[in-house]
Amino acid sequence: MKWTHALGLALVLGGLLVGLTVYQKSLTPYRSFKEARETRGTVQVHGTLAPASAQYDGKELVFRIKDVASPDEMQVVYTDVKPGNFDQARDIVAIGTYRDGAFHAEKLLIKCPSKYQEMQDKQKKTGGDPV
Amino acid sequence: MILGYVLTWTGFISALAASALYLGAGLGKDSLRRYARFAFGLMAACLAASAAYLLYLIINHRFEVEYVAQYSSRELPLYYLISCFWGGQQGTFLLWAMYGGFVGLVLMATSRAWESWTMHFLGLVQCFLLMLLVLKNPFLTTPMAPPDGQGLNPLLQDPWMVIHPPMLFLGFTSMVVPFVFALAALAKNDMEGWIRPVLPWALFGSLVLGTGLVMGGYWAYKVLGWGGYWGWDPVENSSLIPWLTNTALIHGVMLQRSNGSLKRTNLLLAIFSFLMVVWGTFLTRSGVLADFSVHSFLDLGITGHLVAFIVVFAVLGLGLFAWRFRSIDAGPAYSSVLSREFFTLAGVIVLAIGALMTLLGMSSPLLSRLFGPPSSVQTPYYNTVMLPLAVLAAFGSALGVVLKWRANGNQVWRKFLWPLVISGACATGLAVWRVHRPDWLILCSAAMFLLFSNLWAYLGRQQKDPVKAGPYLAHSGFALVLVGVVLSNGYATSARVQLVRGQAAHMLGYDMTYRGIKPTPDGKQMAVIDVQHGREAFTLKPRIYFSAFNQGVMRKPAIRRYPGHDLYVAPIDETNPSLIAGQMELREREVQDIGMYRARFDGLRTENQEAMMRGGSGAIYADLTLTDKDGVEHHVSPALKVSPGQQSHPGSMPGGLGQVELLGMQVGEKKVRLGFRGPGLPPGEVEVTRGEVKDLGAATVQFTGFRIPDMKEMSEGRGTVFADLQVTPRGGRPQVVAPAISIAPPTDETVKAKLPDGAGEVKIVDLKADEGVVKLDWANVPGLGDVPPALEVEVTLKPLIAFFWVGTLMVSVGFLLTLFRRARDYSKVKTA
Repeated sequence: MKWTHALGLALVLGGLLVGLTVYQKSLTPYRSFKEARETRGTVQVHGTLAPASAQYDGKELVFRIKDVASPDEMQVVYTDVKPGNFDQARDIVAIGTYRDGAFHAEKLLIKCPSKYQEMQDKQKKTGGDPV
Repeated sequence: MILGYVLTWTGFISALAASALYLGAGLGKDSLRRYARFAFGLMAACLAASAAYLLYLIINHRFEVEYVAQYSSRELPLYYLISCFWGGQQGTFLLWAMYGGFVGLVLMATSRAWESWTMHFLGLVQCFLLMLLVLKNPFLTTPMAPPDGQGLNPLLQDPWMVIHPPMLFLGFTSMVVPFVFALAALAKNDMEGWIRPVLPWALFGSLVLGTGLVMGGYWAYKVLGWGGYWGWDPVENSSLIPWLTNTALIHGVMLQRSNGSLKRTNLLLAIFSFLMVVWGTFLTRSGVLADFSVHSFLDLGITGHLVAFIVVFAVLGLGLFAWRFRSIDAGPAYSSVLSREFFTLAGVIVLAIGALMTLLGMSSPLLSRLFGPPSSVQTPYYNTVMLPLAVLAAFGSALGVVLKWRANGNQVWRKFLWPLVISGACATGLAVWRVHRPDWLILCSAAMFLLFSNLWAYLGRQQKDPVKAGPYLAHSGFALVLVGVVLSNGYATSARVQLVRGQAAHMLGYDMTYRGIKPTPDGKQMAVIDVQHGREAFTLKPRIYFSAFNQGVMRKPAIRRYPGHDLYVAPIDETNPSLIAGQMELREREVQDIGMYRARFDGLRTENQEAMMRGGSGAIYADLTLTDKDGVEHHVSPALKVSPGQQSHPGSMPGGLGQVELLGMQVGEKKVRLGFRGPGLPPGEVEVTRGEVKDLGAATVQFTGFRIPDMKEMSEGRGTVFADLQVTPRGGRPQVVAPAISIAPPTDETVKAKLPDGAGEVKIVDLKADEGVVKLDWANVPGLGDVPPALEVEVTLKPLIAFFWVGTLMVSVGFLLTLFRRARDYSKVKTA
């Protein structure tokens, strides 16, 4: 029975090793814009949408984002349907790669100022009580 | 809501008492069990009553309760009001705790000799959940009840969302039972006896959690429009991981029943299933994944509590396990490779590795922080890792089902002959058809082999008792799920097209004609598309509308189901070039063209200006002159109507000292801001906390508290709040003075003006009265051109996706049958 144990263990360990390698490869780290330009693989960047910079022609969404940590701007290209809440976007997380002078996003996470926050602001103005 | 507070606190204290009394009973004072039962029953009753009360508050629109105001609104029909219950975090925790109470009552009635210890640990878990409820009480009120709540996210306004969350949380709750059984086994030092009573519970857990997961997937497929039912999102993963570990536990328990092996593994699997539920809750609800997941919740400030929750139960479970580790003796798991034991063990390992890999992926934003910048992993990771595991699982369970426990003769290969031949033929057929990717072909072949092996094994049984068909059904379902996943994702054909209104377009074998946008009964909008397919004609109604709640365009696909494939039509964008919309700023006397009109802004006109300046009601009109293409002039005046949102009612100070006005209040902090005007007092503002005495020179002021005479009125968004002050003039007697603020809905409303053609509208979005500038928003203005509107859609054919849904249903039914069977076994055994 020893050889089956050894074989099973080898298979499990081999599988884990393969899994971990794939895991290591598919990590998309958060990067500053400067680092994102220098990295060849997939990364995540986080920025605020530059006002009035978005253009959408039904095929491609192009906009600029400002880095949260440094005074740096970058153009983002997203070739998919414009997310429904994009027009209200403030913060944007983009996942993709930098090439040919722009960040090509495969995925966008849009963060909107929530309705609840607006309510709170309004209440503060009227001297009410935001609990 | 004082009743809510009383209920949650009573529940919390009873949970503490029940847990402590059961501990005493477990340690040998069996007389304590009566009291423990009473305490636990009281806790369950309190939780059921809290839940009923919260539901009552939601249904009756009691917006003075913050939770009700935040997650519901008046416009919702009854069944969506019910789903507002779990619209927010506090409600989901209440649901979880309430289920815990019910599960505990069933456990109390059925666990016999295991009662004291299992109920003690269950009571501990309930303590933590109730502590969360006490900290973040769903019954928190606000003195300023809004006139209407914020409503329910339209994405969640779907029948499946009424039933998916309660199902999922029942699944989460049921994971606690194997956990408390494992802890009880360790406490009692009996590693065998817990196996029989725990099996029905583990089956129940996988059944309910799995069904809940699939419901969520079905909702995603039907509502979200990206075409899939599973996205490896942290919220999905956090339910998948416990499902995998718990299903591994079911297999491990079967193996332990057969030959007494895997004792340690089973204890660990039971412990981890519950820890994973708490870990998933922590990841998705503490806000730590906010930058990585689309639907992780806001941070409620319960992170520390959730961390404590995990740490306490991890230390408790793993500590007990380590303490007993040496005294557990388990036999070898299998004696020959070609036996059901070996493949059951393989199943346990594959399921556990699957859980581990998903856990790694889901936790990557936290794990990677230890080594560098926080990183998340994307879906390709999961697909790459899960594919070989799925192949192993399918192949292994095929062999495991066909082989017998223990002895298998030399003629073993004969059992596989027919399944191999048939599935080989099917796989060849698939390869010829279009499945050319080797990894997908291998997966499909393994799934086919699993399907036919099950069929073969079941038909070959002597007694075809349907209750014993559970495992065969569940494994066949798993096979269908795999085939459905590969084909519907890998071999979908899809095309994006502009459908011009009134013009037929031919795509993927369907003739589609867009007919325009129509209103839906519930006040939203849908696109109407007539479809011709051979002899069949039908109408598809995907939705596309702007939602104020989400501040964005909502799109809901339309799906037409056929046995062999789904036709999935997702709307992307609706353009109507002939109807012009847009915003413009105009100065006084300025002229600009919009569509077929030339618009001139003649100036602002106010009504009741005096009253408005004093905070009363009034209106501002923007007078426009529109000249149409025939040169005819029309006058339209969109307006802003202002009505007071709040009115201050000053109180008169005694002794002719003047007036006191309530300028602001912080109810939570029991503070008010007061303004004084009058001859005897220095003008100015003062902040007073309840109970504090302020010396103003000519008088002292003490704030004694808020008073809301008509709570019911308040809950409708109107009413008055008084601040009671005790004013003592120097050398005079104390007197009560009560300045007040009365509240009324809404503060200002925009009044649209219809354009002369009847379709268009104009409204004011902003105005700068002192500069004479107005910002207008135009909608549906007829243009000069004549371009028909168009709808852009993505049309997808998803082959054999029905396999996926039918497969999941079979898995659920398989679990259900086996649950009946094992529960029956357990109740027949008279000894504990």
